[in-house]
Amino acid sequence: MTPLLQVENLSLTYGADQVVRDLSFSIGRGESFGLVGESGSGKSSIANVIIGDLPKIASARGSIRYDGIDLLCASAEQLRALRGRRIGFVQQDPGASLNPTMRIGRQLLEALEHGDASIGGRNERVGAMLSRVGFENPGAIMARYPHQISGGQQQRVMIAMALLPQPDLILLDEPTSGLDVTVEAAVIDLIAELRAQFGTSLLFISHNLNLVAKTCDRVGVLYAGDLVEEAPAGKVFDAPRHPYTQGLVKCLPGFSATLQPIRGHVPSPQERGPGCLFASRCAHHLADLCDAPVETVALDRFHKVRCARLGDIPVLSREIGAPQDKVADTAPAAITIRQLRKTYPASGADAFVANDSIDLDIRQGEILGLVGESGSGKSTLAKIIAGFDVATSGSIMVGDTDIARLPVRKRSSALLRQVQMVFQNPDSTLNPSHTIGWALGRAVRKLDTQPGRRSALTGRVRELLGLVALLPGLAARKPKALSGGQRQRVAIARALAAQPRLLLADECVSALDVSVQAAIIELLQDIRTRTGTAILFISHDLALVRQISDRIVVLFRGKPMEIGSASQVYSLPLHPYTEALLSADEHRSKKVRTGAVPLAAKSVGGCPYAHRCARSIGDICATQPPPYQTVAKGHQIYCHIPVHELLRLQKAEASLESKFAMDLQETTEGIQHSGAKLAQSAFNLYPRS
Amino acid sequence: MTTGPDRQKSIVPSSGSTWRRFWPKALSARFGICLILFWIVMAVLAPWLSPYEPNAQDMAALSDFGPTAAHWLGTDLLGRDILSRILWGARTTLVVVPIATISAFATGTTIGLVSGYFGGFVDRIISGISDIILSFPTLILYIVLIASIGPSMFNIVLAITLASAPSIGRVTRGLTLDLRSRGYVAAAEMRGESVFFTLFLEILPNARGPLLADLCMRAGLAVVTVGTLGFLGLGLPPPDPDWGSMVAENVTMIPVYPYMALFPGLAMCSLVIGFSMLADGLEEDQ
Amino acid sequence: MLAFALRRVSQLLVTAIVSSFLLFVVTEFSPGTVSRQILGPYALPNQVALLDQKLGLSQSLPQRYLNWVSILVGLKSNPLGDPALGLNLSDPRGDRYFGNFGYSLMFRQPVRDVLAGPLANSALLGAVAMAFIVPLSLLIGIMAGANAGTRLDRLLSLGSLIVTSIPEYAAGVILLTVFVSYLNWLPGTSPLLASEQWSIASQLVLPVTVLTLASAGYVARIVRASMADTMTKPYVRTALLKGLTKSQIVTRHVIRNGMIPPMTVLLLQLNWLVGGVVVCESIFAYPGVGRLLLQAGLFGDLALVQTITLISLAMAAITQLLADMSYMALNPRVRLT
Repeated sequence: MTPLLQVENLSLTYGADQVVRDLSFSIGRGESFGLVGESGSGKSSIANVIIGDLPKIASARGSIRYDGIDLLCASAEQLRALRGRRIGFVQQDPGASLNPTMRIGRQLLEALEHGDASIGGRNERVGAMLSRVGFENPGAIMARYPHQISGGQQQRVMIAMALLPQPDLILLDEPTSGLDVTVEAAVIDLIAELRAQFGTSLLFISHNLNLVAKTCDRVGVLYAGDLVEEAPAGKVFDAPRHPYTQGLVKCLPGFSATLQPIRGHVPSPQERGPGCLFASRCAHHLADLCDAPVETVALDRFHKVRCARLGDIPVLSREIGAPQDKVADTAPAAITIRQLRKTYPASGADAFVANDSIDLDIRQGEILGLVGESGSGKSTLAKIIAGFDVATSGSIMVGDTDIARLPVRKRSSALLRQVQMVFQNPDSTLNPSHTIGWALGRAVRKLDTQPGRRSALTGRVRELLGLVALLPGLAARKPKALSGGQRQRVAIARALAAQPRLLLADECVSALDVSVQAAIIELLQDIRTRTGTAILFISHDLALVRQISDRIVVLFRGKPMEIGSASQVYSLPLHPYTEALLSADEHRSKKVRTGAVPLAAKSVGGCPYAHRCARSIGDICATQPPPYQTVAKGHQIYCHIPVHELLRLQKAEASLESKFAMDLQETTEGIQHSGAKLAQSAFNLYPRS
Repeated sequence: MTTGPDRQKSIVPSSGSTWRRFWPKALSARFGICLILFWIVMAVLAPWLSPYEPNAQDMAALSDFGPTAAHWLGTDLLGRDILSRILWGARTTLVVVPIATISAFATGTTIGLVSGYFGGFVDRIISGISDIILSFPTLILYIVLIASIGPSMFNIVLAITLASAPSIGRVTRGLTLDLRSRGYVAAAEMRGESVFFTLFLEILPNARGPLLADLCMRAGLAVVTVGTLGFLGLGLPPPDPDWGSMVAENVTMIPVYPYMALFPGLAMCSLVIGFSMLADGLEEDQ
Repeated sequence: MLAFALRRVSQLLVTAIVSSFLLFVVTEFSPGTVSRQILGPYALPNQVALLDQKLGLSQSLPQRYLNWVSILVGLKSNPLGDPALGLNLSDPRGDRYFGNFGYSLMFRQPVRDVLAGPLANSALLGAVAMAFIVPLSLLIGIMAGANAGTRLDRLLSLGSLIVTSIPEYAAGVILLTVFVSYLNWLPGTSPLLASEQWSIASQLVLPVTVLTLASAGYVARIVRASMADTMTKPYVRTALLKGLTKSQIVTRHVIRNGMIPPMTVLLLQLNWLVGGVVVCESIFAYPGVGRLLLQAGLFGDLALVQTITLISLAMAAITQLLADMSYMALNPRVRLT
């Protein structure tokens, strides 16, 4: 049987820049194929070339055959006839992908316009599809405008839109980026479920190896426009053969005790030669062999690798296990937060509570991880500590000074030196008008404890660059000449100029590729050991927080739900919210209801998680604030349900779940590729207890 | 996480001399610069280039006003040489316009930076005053102002500053609101930099692109304003030539001697088009 | 929605009051006072002072502003109309009524009577010009924006840029040279009196063309920029990926979203038109308010200047309100939150 989509020797250039080189893969009917790659790998361009939507400067060679039609030679009219009807597309950012001034119903109806159904019939089909993607009241959703529904709901609408004309193939381009983990899990579940129902083929494009491996039968790994490895999903984790894939797996948080970043950077289109593009970063690089064009080697029918030294590459070895806690239990507090509360005036009588009576110590020299979904108030907390916002009530003590209501402009330089911050966005963290040396020099002059002469200043700047492993020559460059990772390193160096007691890192790696991200994590840990500064590491990425932190705080609607050492929280997530978060992150066949479509119902004075909680024990949860229960030394949860009861419930579900998982396997056997089972086993490697 | 060629290209440091960096890439901007330079040269060299004194009357020309060998662009009704008057008029325009534009910009960017950066009460006051000034139709504001304070170079500069600073302020405020949330501004605050330093060394340099384009557009508008005021009889006092009043003096003669008003009008057009094209090209380059 | 509208209206009222005060202050700066104007340049200082006294002009500035407003809303009678002064000024509507703008000293008549005709003429000019500006600029802007980056776009954009750069009076001169001096197709002045040679309609052609040229290019550029920006939005790509044709995409998804920002500009253009009208009327000797304002300004007829400026301020306020309303009507995000 010929595959539904067959890409052969596809090359794509933008002007003189090669974006994709000699790419071949195929997708069979009902099969799902994943493409993974970091930024600059050309993965989105591949989706665009399939759908025939490329910028004018682009030119493509090779062939893309879709059900017998050559898409590269097809006329504009032929391509248009395929779009929507035969090939569906789900874009990233669902919020921007829906027309803000058109009701959702009309936008969905447009997808059916080319069919022969009657107007009434179309309405019915849209309604039916909306209920299939999980809306309880399709009529109400159809009458709404996109901004009136949540991000997760918007992506469901987009999926419904792609499925409506019943296409044979759907391209998903980063369909969950920007969504919270729990919502992401729900969307991924939905995609898997619908695929089983409709038998649609999928091309899933993502930067997230984890996600792709969970969703797809087969995975292709892209590097700088080269398909370096193609394998069944499970093998990508278990037995990757290409040095890049191996490196990528070692960078993923949550899979090994320590992260091993890939050194170097992705070659820019100008730097790309005819040989292996990973050569500049590869430990196995041999000049003669690797710098000539490399052929793809098929290990078996489904596993292909493009590496000239395949025979010499050792199999993947990694330290399996959880990161060690570097407990600093006895260290004195660097800052002490007591009863901290921040509310914002909101429409209606109630104020929006961003931080709700937080009690927290950040100890000297520890890395404290702060996790929560968007809107949980984790950034608000960082802003208040940094002085970019002031608390409504409560205190934050640094030494003898309360900084909770002291805006940054009113802080003395002695106080400013205590707390410094690394910001989220590497593109805007450095002033594009000034050089790196200027930025660091200014920080030294204003904040260094021993301000010296000019010569001493440049010496100190070199020293700071060395501390974050950058070459001194970078001082003369402007930020735009630096990569994202380098910029974030400079930002860390700038913060370190003050030799702060506490370093705030608010999502400081979330915009970076995994390989770069791993390197920054390593750097932060290194800096902590060398300088003894405490770090408040804020992230939505649970695995990452686990990787770096000594202690963890799980925040929900401004309230810490669970506090404990990293291993305590991750091996025994007792609070129902932590449990839900972790299960969503791991994405086991979920048993815990994640409340994907939260209702606006307000809980009055009770636990903020009550109305989404799967274990809620009735009115008490919604009306009375629960106590902090101590599970073990340093491990607390904010819940009404007694600890032993929570443990019992979890155990009971675990046994049920394994039974359910077996049933699921049997029913999906027919559709899924055998590799999927291997994928399942890969996830069980994840340390749970 | 979007992929694209631009992201990669930015890693490579840009090369080229200083001259290259300031020479705009857009063709329209280059054309605009040439036009403006042409008029600057004309204005500077007016005393040497112009064949007659701008106010000298040539009685012989009164029998034939049209372009002749003696008067390339003809003379006006008083027998004054149009070409000489246009060249001297360029001087007037190119002195008043830069002064007025720079004065308006200094005022406008400062209030825009301050109101965008501080927000809150300061912003409300500044925006409120700006709204009031902007609620007057611009030309009416000029007429009322100049009619009240009298026409002089200083007053024209004052009027242009007062009338355009609020809208420059608005543009700057918008840019500042965007830039002030950047990491580097927060970093400056966290190392205790002064407000002045933050505004003028951290924020302003990054707004220079759009502001420069706006500056050129405003300069073009100032040329129009100076000319229009001259045309309406609210410009610089006669008899010194300025393009607007030259048009006004001769507009009634158009059915018979169109050149008298046409040439100064065309001179004005070319200078304004020069500024507009430069502004457009700068915007495109960003 | 209603709350928003109310807030907006009250804001506008405050702005109107403050700007009218500002206007009053600025005009009161003028060198010749009302008394000096009435009595002529040879009057003795004590005569002027006496008249100032009688007219209430020696009071403080806020007091005079209050008097002025009181006369305007009909709470007080205008001291100039007092027969005892012997100025021979009288108002057929009585001496106290709402909307009493005082007497024009230039015409020795109530301002309302002086203004009625010119106001109608200017409104006619503005309305006809708008009737050309709106469709023309939308057409050019949408055509250029929907085809952003193509040769058509570059041609239209450059054309609009050049046309907007030409000052109105220069455009007037060029048009006069071509159509009046050379071709003799159209009249050189537009007194709005039908003559044997030129109908009233033909007298409107050039003034309307000048206004349209200057304005349409500017609005077209703004429409184009917004359209071109909208064309790059992900939801337009969504529409493309649904398999819609280009014309379907533009009409259903681009125009409405792309019109949200220029809508405000388009309405505020009315405001700008006021200035254009002044110049235009001067070139073509068109009997409208703009020319009147200029004359009044040069003569120092304070009441007339103040009234015309007040009217333009009121118009500005109303267009601003309309702009806000249309913004809300087009943008469901604002409307429903």
